[in-house]
Amino acid sequence: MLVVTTILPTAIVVLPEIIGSYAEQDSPLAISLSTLIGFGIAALVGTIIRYNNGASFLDWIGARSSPLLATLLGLLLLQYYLDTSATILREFVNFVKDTVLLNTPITVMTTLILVVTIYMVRQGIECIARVNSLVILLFLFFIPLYLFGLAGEMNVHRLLPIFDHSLSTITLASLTPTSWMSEVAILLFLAPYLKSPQKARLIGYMGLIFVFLMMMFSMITTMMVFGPQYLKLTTYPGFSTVGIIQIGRFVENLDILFISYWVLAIYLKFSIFLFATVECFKQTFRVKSSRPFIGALGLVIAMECLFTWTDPAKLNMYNREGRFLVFMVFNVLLPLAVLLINGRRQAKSKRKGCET
Amino acid sequence: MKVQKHYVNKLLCLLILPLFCTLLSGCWDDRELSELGIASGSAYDWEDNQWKATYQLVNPSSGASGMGGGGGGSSSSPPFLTFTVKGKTIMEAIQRTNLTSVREMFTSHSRISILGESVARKGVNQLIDLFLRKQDARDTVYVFIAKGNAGKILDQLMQLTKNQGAGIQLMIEQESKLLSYYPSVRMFELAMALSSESGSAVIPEILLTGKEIMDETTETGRTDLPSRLALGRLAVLKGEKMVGWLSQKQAFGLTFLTSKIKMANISFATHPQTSDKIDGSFILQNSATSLRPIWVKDHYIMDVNIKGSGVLTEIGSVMDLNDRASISQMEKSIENYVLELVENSWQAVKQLNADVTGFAVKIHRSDRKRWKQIKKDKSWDTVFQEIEIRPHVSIKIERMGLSNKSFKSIEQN
Amino acid sequence: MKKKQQASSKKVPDPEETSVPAPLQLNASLEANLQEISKRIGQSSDVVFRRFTNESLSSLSLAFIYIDGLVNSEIINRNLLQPLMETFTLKSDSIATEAAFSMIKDQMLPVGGVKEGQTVESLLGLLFEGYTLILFDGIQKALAADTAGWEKRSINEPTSQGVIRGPKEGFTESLRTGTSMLRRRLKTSDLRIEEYKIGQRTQTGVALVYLDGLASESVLTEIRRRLNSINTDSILESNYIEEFIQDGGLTPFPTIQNTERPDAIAGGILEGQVGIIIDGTPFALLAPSTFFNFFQSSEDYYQRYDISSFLRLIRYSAFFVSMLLPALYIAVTTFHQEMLPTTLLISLAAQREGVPLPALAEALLMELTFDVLREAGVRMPRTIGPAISIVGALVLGQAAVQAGLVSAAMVIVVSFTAISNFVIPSLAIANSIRLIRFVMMLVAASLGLFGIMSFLIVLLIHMAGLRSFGVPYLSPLAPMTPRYLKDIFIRVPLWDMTTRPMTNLGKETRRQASNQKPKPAEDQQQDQQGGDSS
Repeated sequence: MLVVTTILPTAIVVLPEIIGSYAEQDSPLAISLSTLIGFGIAALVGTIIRYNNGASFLDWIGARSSPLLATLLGLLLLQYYLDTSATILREFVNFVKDTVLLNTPITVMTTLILVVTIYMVRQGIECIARVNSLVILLFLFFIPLYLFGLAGEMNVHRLLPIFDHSLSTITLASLTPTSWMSEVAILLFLAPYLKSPQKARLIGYMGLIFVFLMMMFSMITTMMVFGPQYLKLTTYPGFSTVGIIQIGRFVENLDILFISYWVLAIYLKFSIFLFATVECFKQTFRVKSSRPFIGALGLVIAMECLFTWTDPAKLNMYNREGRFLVFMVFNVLLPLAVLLINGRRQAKSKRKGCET
Repeated sequence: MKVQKHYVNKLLCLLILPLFCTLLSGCWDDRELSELGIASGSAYDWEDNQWKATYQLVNPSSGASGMGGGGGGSSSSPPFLTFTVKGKTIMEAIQRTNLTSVREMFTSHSRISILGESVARKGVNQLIDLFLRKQDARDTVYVFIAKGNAGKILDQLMQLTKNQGAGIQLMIEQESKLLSYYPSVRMFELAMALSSESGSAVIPEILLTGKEIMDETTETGRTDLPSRLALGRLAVLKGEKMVGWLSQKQAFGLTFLTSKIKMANISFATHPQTSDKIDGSFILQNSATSLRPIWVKDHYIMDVNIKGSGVLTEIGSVMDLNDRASISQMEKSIENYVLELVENSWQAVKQLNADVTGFAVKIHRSDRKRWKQIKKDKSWDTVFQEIEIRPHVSIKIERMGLSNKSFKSIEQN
Repeated sequence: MKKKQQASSKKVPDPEETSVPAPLQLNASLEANLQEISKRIGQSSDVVFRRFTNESLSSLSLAFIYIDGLVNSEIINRNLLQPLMETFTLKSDSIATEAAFSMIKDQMLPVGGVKEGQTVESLLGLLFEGYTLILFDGIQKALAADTAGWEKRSINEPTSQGVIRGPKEGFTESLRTGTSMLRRRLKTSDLRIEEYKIGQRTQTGVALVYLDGLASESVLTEIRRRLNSINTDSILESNYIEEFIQDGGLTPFPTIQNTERPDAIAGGILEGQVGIIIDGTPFALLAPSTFFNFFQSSEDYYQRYDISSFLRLIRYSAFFVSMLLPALYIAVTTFHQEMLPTTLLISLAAQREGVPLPALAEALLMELTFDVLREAGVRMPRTIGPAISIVGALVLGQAAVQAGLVSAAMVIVVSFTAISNFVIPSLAIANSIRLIRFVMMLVAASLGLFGIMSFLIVLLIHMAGLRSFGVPYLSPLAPMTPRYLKDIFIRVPLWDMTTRPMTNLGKETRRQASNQKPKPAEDQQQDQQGGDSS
């Protein structure tokens, strides 16, 4: 379930716009394609975890190959996670500022979010997981409300025609969601805390399926209400759809409600990423206790968030184009490389075993 | 370690406290209810190369909005106030209200938006952009057009409701549900229609039935107002500019073509062979229209299939309702009436050359390749002109109401 | 009554230990012993010294010491003095004091509990328990006979947690009455009662009650360890114990239940919890407790399952209402006015026209006023109590609205919040909600719904990390175990509750046979026939 929270909140906010501008009506197809690729990544990650049986990732690499390699990898991954956390924070703050609190200075919001998240990470991944399951349960309440309110507006015909766009456009559109799906690689760092590391692959699959369903659901309903062209305009289409819901005479403008729920989810996601960053840090530098460093890392992230990403256009462009490369390298190639090395080692040790 | 943790805890608490204090003292986003000017409607005109915006603000202290028209108990202050401002852009005009208004403008409860004809002729895209972009301007406001000056409409007091904006919204919702002459158009629907392949949209007109504007509460203390708000014709936009009007009957036919009929009343001649007198009424309760484009040689033929059913409500001639033949005769009469409506409307739309019927979308959905060709050639206008429609109507009178003979038939003389 | 905690050199005696460091041994001489004891006790007027001799026991000098008021004088007179003063058993003149001692102890005292003592400290301890000390001249031992009997409050209805249907007995201040009430309800040999004496100067009796084999061993060891490490001057009420042994230093949430009803304690013990009864207060404790324990009331099981489920749901919504309603009101009316329906917004705006205070100040003012009224109501003498509360609530609120100090909607919000606070069965959680509510209001006033959500997440995380004696605070919801959810949000019918809930950390014993659902007689016959044939 943690996997779901890892991927979903920012996905719902950012992705529909990007996919929609490429693929329009064929967005569901793009999502399906990306999910399939995501399955592949989950399989990869799951296999790794099965091999090392729940040990912490970098330690295991260090044991298998040289410790220097492990530290190097650790540094790279640390930088990657720091970056990603900063972008998440930025998106969070952007979103809240755009929709709810227009005038509050960013510094205040960032500090508040950081304080809360640092507290969350201090309590440990267990607490985060528990609250996560609660929050996902709450989702069940919101879906019927959503459907019920929008039932009058949806028009299935707006989904047609399918296959209007060429395969290349669809592939282009599915690149960005694939990079999102590849965030399932965070399982690598959660591995030591999983109850049954053997099931890691299964967990990855299930999480991805759930994300897939949710994305499809959100995408399809949005398109049914708005039609493909209008979708390109809105920055946050999912929430604009919610804003239209009008039940009776007295229930309207519910997007604030959904935004509040989303705020809960994004807090969880950010804390998961912060936790992963801290884990990475802990393993790279071999510190035993991470308590004092959580605050420091949080501060670094805050600084990066505040000063690097001040321009929303830059963030959008990064989302659209740059992110794919970065994610692919870290979430796919890295585990792949590790697996290959591991495979070679095992083959070598088997040979050695046979020889002796 | 424990002592250290204790100190770290204390430090954290000390750090958080001032944060909270700053939060309290500088609450950036809060607006007290008494500072708000709740706008319930807005109107836009284009005059002398400037935007003129009129806002209708609810006056809360005149009692909660609700039922209660004129009469001794009503307060002396009007239920709403209007502000009119000018500016080079719309936002400039809105912000200039701060020069005269005591309260901050709060547009999230705005219900209606009236565009003057001048704005429609000029082009609505800037206005739509404002509504979609601004965070608290709702895009679910109902859009209307007013001939001439839109701001004047907002001054008119309504009876039976104190909130004029909400009242107009109720009016259009009721109309589109019960009468189906004009569709209710909300801002985002307008945007969707204008950005779709058809590139055209319709907006209902709102007007004053009389010459004077009733804008004093003393004036509304009568039972029969000489001048009320009413819905008029239907304006047609192509691209972002207005290109013409459709009359009521033409609008009614258009609703049939776009399959937006919810409930409608059709008056028809009960004995079409013998006399042309329109003396019967039929309420259409369910109706569905399906459109199918067929490519024949060099143009499209739209196969329009209208199905409906309903109940009879009024018969002014001699009629025995147990007779199957007379019923089918009436059904035929209704069908002819609808056919006439549809043809009439189609001619008017063709004349305006605006695809408000949504044919482009249908063609795109069913005939992709040809649509791509049309889009590349940019020849939709010509193709549209060449479309001919083939309407088929089939109406079924399901129920006859409570009496099974018309009253006239049992009159002795 | 605050007493500073003294670090003392004397350890609190464990049940196993019997000796105190440097105890004073009894002297052989009776005079010396009596002098020692009267020196220690002082000249208190309720301590009775009774000396006498028995001719037949070779002029053995005896002395009785007891504290008037703590003893049942009838027992002393009839069962102690009478046999010792009036028996003529021995013919022989000389009898060793030793033999006399054992003869008296074994044969001549028709009293149930007789203990031997050798140190002054232990004897004094028994004296304060209502024992009568019998001191002998010539040996260094003494006897203590159990003659306890003092004025006790009779068993009547619990004042704080009443039910409509169900037993109307409540604990009293006597520990023994409490344990007897539990014995009457749990007539099984598995019931164990362990007693401790905690508190330097109060030596309060604390009894640990549990069902052997059902309560989790780790929880028991933990509780025993914590009870033994309490080192304080006084234990006057169960809260003293609660604050010493509860988990989590600074949490606003309680982790131990307290109740006045023996059937609630019995129910808890049957589910694997451990009960702690404390002498001197009718409120007993139950540990470990999860969050959801606080929303269960014993009345849930005495009414039908559908109404109980409905009332449970109301309790949970009351929890949310009393925590969130003022904060939500403030947030929505100051930040998110677009969420309100227009007519409501206009009438609210109309009400706030003349009010001088911003929403937060108004809310705080009303909340504090209401809390003041509530406190005053608790301390009011019974004769003028109702009058003042009516005056306070209605007139004050009404007059404030009319004077334009607060808006009517705010009065409604505050009163509804306060009333929903009373719906929650456990006072402990209700009180913590009162406090959290204030912080919520502050957060809402600064950042609107975003602030409320942030604080809510902080609370959730805090609760998820809390443990009550090893049981996660939010189980069975947080480590989601669906089979334990039968009694949380709704109450399934009793024939469906086949397993115990989680508080005994996984000792999931079946507590009743499955398939107990009542069926009409013909179906049962058919079932039996079907069972026979297969």
